[in-house]
Amino acid sequence: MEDEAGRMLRIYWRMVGAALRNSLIERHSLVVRVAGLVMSDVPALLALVVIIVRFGSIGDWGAAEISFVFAFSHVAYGLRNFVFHGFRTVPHLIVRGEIDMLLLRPLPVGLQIAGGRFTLEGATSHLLVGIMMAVTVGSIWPIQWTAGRIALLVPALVSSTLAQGGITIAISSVAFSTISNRGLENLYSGVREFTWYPLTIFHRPVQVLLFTAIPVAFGGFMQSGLFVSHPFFDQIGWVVWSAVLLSGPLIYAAGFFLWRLGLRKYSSTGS
Amino acid sequence: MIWYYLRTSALATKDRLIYRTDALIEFATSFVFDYVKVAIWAVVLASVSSATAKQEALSYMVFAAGISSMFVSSNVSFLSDAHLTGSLTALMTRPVAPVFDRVFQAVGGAIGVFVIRSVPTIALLWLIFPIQLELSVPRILAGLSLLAMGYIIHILVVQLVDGLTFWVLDTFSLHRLRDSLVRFLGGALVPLWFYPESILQVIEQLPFRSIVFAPAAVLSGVISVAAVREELIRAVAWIGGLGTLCLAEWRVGLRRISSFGG
Repeated sequence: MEDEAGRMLRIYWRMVGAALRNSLIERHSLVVRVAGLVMSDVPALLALVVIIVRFGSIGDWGAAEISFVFAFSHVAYGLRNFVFHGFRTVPHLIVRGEIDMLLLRPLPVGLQIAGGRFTLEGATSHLLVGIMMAVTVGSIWPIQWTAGRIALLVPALVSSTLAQGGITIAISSVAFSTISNRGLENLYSGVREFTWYPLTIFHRPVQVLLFTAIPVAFGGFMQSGLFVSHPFFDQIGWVVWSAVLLSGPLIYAAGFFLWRLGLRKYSSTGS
Repeated sequence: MIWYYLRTSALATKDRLIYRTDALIEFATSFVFDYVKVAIWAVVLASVSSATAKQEALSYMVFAAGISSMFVSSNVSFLSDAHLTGSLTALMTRPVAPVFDRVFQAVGGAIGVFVIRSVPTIALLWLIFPIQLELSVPRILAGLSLLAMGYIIHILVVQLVDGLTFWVLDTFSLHRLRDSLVRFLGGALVPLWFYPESILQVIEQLPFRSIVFAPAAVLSGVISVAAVREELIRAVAWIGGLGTLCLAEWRVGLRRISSFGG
């Protein structure tokens, strides 16, 4: 079992390496495209900085908390792009019949998609924006780092990444039944916008939606609560915090279950 | 010849309205972005002591959100795509000017997007957030005029950036930069009067404020109807200047096209 898992991991990294070398062939184009993608998120970052400088807070969320939530969510989303971005191409693969080729190979289809469809661009742009926020605003209004918070940083990022990845995989698995999941994909792009900001500033029905039906609240916001001080987070005990950290793997497992279900029911489009 | 372009525009409008499911999904997606923008400002402005200032800013953001949703998701890199794929030379053989054809298509599409996206967005946001609208016929006419001019300025800026494909080939990043500048400096994300003086001085020299800020400010009452004339003159001046630049860029750029094969 461990040998098999290790073998899969080695194959994954080899595919990522190949995709990485491919994207580095034209470095100039890569840099230009990453710069362009970063430009897309910079206005939101600058607008947030203007609000923080002008007003000092958004509701009862202070500058340090707002900037950390924004930075953390962007970094988590960038990590999600590193691993799971390839799943967004599933509808195209189905239409072109490439899923059939992937099914013939003696490797899990998900592994082939995650590794073979790896792109550096989308991942680095969000990571860069998150790091920019952390370095600029975060250095002016820093959060209090303790040994406990430092120790929890990696598990929190992993949990957020898995939650977002699980949602991505679930959305992509819809394509096995409907061929096109563009509508869901676009909706998720919109809903993901909520995760850059403290969710308690939105209306209560929206919050309920983001914690239940579309659990993007566990894609960065809740995990960031481990590092910031705010009345919403201060009332949460260690049992619930443990559940928050576990939510990522659980959402990922649910997404993976839907993926396996979709794959089992998949019938070729005949391309 | 103008009838051809007007018909192109009308067909583009119809095209936008015909795929209702796609239109609904696009509206739902863009509405989420707009709701997030306005919700943040509703919470931020709760700390502002002046009720008038609060209402003004929130009304402005509602209109700005609805207006800026018009500028999202159109095939902006038409020239760049055509140049990269080589279809530009095929387009040049047609008895219509590709750029004019594209501009009229964009205007037609914008009318469709205004109907299926901007108006419902503003209506829904007005219901969700407690804003008072004081719309009168002169204000609506002034706002729509500025909106039309603002959209033409937006198209000209897009064409100007797209025309750089004759020199840099791939304009993807330049379009992203353009979009960022329109959103940040045009008042789509932050009411311009909250910016520091240094940024405002830069904004005054650029055309972006006429794209979102001017129509949104007039419709929300931030700019009075009496002061609309100044905004109209500014918009007309920018249309003239940008239009001249676009034509010059097109003429110079065309000389750089080389094509081979059959």
